[in-house]
Amino acid sequence: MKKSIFSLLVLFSSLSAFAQKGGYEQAMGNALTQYGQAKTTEEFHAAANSFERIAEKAKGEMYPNYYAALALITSSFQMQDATEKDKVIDRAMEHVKKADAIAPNNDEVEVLNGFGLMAKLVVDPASRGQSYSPRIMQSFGKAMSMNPNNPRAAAMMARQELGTAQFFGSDTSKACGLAQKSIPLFDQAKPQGFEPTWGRDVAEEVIAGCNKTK
Amino acid sequence: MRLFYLLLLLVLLLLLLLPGRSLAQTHISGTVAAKSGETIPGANLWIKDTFDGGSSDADGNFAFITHQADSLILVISAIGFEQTTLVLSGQSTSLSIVLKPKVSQLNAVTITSGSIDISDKASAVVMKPIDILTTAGSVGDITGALNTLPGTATVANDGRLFVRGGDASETAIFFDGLRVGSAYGTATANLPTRNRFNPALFKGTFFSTGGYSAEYGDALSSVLVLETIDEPVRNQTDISLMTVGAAVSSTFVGEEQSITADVSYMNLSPYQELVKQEFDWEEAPKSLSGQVVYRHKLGTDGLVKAFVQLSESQLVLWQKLPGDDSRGQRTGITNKFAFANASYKKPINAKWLSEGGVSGSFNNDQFAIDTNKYQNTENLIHIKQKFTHYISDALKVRMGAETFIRNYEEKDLLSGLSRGFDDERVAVFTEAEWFVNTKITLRGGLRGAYNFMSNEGRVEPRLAAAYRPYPEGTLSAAVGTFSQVQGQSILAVSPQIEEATAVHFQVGFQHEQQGRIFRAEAYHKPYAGLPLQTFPTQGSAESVFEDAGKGVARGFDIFYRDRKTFANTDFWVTYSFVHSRRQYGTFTQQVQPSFAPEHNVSVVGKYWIAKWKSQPGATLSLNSGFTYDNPNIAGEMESTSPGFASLSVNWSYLLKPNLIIHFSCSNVTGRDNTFGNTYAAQPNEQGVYASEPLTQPAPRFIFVGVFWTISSDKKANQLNNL
Repeated sequence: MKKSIFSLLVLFSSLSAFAQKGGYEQAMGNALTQYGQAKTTEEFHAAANSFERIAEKAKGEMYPNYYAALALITSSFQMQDATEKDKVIDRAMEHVKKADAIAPNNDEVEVLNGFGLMAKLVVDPASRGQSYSPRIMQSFGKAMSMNPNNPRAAAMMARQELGTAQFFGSDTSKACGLAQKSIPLFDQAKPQGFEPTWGRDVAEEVIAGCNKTK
Repeated sequence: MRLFYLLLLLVLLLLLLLPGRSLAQTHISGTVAAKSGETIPGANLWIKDTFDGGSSDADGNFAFITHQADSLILVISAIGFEQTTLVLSGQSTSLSIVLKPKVSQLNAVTITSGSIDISDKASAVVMKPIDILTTAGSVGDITGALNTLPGTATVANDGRLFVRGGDASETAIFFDGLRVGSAYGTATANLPTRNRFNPALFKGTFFSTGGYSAEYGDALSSVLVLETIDEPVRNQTDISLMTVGAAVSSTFVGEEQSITADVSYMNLSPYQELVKQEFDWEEAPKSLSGQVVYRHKLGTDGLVKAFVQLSESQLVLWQKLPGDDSRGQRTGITNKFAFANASYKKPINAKWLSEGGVSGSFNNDQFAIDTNKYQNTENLIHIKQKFTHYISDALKVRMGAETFIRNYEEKDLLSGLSRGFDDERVAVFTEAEWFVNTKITLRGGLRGAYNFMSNEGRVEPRLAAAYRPYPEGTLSAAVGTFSQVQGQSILAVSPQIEEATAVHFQVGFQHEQQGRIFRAEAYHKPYAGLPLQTFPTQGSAESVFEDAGKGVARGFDIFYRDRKTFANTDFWVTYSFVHSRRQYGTFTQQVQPSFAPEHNVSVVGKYWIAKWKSQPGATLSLNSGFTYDNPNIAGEMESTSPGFASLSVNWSYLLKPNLIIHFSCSNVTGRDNTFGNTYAAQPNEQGVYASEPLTQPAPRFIFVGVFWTISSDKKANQLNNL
């Protein structure tokens, strides 16, 4: 009986640790669901708020920052006011910085950084195109060299390349090839825990765009 | 025993299901609003040290459930508001939370009075860095593009910046915070010059047409602050082939440092062989220049930058003399220029930023005028250190000190006679900027300066304020006193002469909305201490200068830029009115100076044609004419040249992402603009002073350039292999 009580105590203490961790996991799960269902700018911002709350409590975790940034960047594409867009993207980039500080040299964070820069460019392509394009390419390129099997890095690079190629009316084969190449990478990817899964639609969009121009 | 394990299992299950280790549920709901009563959407609310929380909706309402029962601390956070906490006890279902606005740079109103920030930070700004390259008529010259902005006057036969009725020397040019001496190439009368720096060097430019910070001194009218690029992104080589020359620039980027080196050679003689010139050139302008920029990171947010430019240029020009049928006067100019600059920026901690540096400008001009030979040399050293103290989000204080050391010499190379001076000036400044609330910003500064050559010290107060009557509008005003040492050739004669001074009063309004911006500003600027030339010995050309001249410039400027109304079209319209009167030189009364036309208009348009990957553009510059003094008529500066008009066009074609072809033509219509007349020093036999009109070098200037960028980024190469 004594032994039982002892094991019960051990169990209890390990459980309470698990519950703590479980709280994080559950909160992330809920926030990811909220993010997955978000459609309006307001909903994206509410999801970002949820990730920000988690980031506040679970300070050593990279993913709350990662997803807060992702939700904010995504929302910027459907916002109207340029000044507000810039504010939202700047807030996202703060989270990218924090994510990078928690997990340095992470290819997913690098892709996110490129995505944020892309959002910045889209706010004002005429005057930002020249200075942002190389930085975006550099970011996706860096992510690809960190992890050649990262499907998002390839898909996002394909999107950027396609945009440039279409703008200049030049050869789109590099962009299209890159997008094609990313599809099996998406298929082979076995995301663990909160590892990101987004980006397949980006690759498919690029491929669709390529087929149209052919 | 079995029951025991069953119970244990049950407990386990419960524990797994309920992360909060508690069965209680607390409902928390309410609304979030600002002090002003407006509801706040998107506020983030949570129970401290838990994952429980929610966001406020479009109407500021929120509701969430927490499993914590007691000692609930609710944290409320919203962008632009102070974060607050609230201690709750149990069920709290109709909280009404009021947040105080957080005042910081992000939501404070910017003082726009007189200031034009040329950057791509915001979406609706007066001018962007790319505009300097794409404005028709600028031909890659910073000044050319700035001359389309409010408060400037295009003096096409000079080429420098003239701001709000002041002469060109009244605009001080800074490079990474440090003063540039001789920022323009040397030219002779009626020959336009250019700014020495390639606009591609800079990431941003701050241009003030009045009422600027106490940080800047020795400028009566305006400052132009050029900021070089901090971090180039990749290794690249840029090759430019132009009708007037060629340039190569290479950038190498490392982890912590980067270096850019470039060389350019310009020679106008092939162009002038092809296109007939009105000026009588013996040797067309040619120049060779090289520059190196080095940048090194200092920790995470610090940076050291060093820059060196060396250049040499030459020209020989014949200019007709009034009443003389011969080829006229032969002027040869050889200019040697060196500029070196080292600056750093380093945060000491979260509250303090330290910046400073040293620059040196070394200029040597050799003039050959007919059989005479002269040499002018000027060397200027500027050392500066400043600290910025962020006392709170709403209050920052800047303080610093600087010194200018200069020597200047004019020498007659044939006789060996020379005159010149060595001067030294020191200044200290401090300035506070306070975001009182989201609608009011105040800035106040003091500048104390001492000039060792004239032995005068002065304290200059500078004040500025901005008020936001509605979200898109800004009202701002500035007042301050400003001073400037007299010109070099004046100091060479009268070294003790005191500095010239000006007082700025200005009030402006700005409305900015979604790709459109409107600005209007009125100013009043009295001058004192302008140099007057007197001849103490009768019959002798020996003269002295006194600081007794007075003057005034007042006027208003209006600016409207629109990138929204017409698809793919970006245009701006500027109108500047200036009433400038001053007594200077040998004038016995206040006159309208030649460089201050009363009415000035610029219209700039750019249109993007996606199908042709082209951006054509046009710039129209108009003004009401330049005054000049006709000795055949009674009065001083009583005559005015016909109105100036010039229509310039350009066309940029993006052949490939890295290959741009640029064409531009200034004064397309070939209009025969004149800038007044020069007159003979003595009347002829009929008692008439013969005249010679000041004309343009050529009816048009045509420019074609090919700009090719080769990026040798290893990462980019790697991508090419995919």
